Amino acid sequence: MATCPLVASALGSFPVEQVESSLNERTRPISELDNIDELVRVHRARILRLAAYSTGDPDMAETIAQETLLRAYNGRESFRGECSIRTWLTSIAIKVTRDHQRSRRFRFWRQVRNTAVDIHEVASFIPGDSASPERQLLARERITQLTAVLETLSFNQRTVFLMKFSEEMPVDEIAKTLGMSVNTVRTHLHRALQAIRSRMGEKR
Amino acid sequence: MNRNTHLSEAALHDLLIGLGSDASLAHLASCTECSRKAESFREDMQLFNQTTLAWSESRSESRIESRSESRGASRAVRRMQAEPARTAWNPWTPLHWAAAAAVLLLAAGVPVWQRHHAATPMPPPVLLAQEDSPSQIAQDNDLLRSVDAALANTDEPPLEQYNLTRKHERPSTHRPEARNR
Repeated sequence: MATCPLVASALGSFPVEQVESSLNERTRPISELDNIDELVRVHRARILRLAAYSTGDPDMAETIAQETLLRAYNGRESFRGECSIRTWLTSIAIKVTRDHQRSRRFRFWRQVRNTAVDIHEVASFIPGDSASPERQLLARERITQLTAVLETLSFNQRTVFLMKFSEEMPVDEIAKTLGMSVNTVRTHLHRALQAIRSRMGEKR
Repeated sequence: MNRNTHLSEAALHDLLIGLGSDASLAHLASCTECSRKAESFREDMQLFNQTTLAWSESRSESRIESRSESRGASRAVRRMQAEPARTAWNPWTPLHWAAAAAVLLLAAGVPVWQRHHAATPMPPPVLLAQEDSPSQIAQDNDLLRSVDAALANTDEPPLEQYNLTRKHERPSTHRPEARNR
């Protein structure tokens, strides 16, 4: 995945002048960004997952996913194709998630409601294939454990972990997206891995 | 690093996050114990990613379906709203209005008419208190008099003892009135 130098500008609020000026000198080829339905179809699930596990709130994640795609669509002219659309969208999703986490409204509703990701609901989506019931049970247990440990991590540790191991972003790209040094990202990853591997143990 | 000394946790974590040294990579290729640890974590993550993506895809699909359903419904509503515009003159419309007005009038008028012409007698008013007998009144008056006498016999208050009076207080002339009827 290529590093995206425009991530910072993409994370902003997309000033109208910037979008208008880039409309005149359009260099970006027509892509899935121009079709909101296609954008939603291809990327919504992934963004939703990242937001749901990052915030621990699937309802909030719905809002974040919607806002991310809307921002991306409205600011699509600022995307120069220097990184993948997936990376660009992930960056926006992280920015939107942070904004929501900082907002008072989020904190209030977080205190009022307890809408954590339902582990049992998620576990019902374990790929069936031809696995035996024992293997299915073991898989369910692993998912449950991993989800439970993820909830105990700090927001930064969890987000960095998901960006690395679910979004498969390289460490330097995570660092740029989050405005952290590579060493900080590395430290967060080490702590997250330490917690997850020590609490989950190894497969029996 | 050789086969007897395994990778440290930090070295293994560096490998997992893609920042492992060449020496660590070489060790991993030859050490079954360390490669089993790394493989175990990767399998867990693969399972987690597949499952959670399937979960969020199902949420997204249901959301998109409900959105397209609501779009279809709103299109149908718009079509229904556009329908009267296409038929410029409908002779039944005034009749419908008249019928609706008549039904409303009946619904409102019948209860009012029933209330005015109801033959059912009104129930007698409930007596809130019964009148006292003369003996009871006399007994009450005795009681009030004895209370009055008891209050008059109380000790002098300290202010009066030293010939002091409150400016805003006037000597009380009030006595409980005897009940008379």
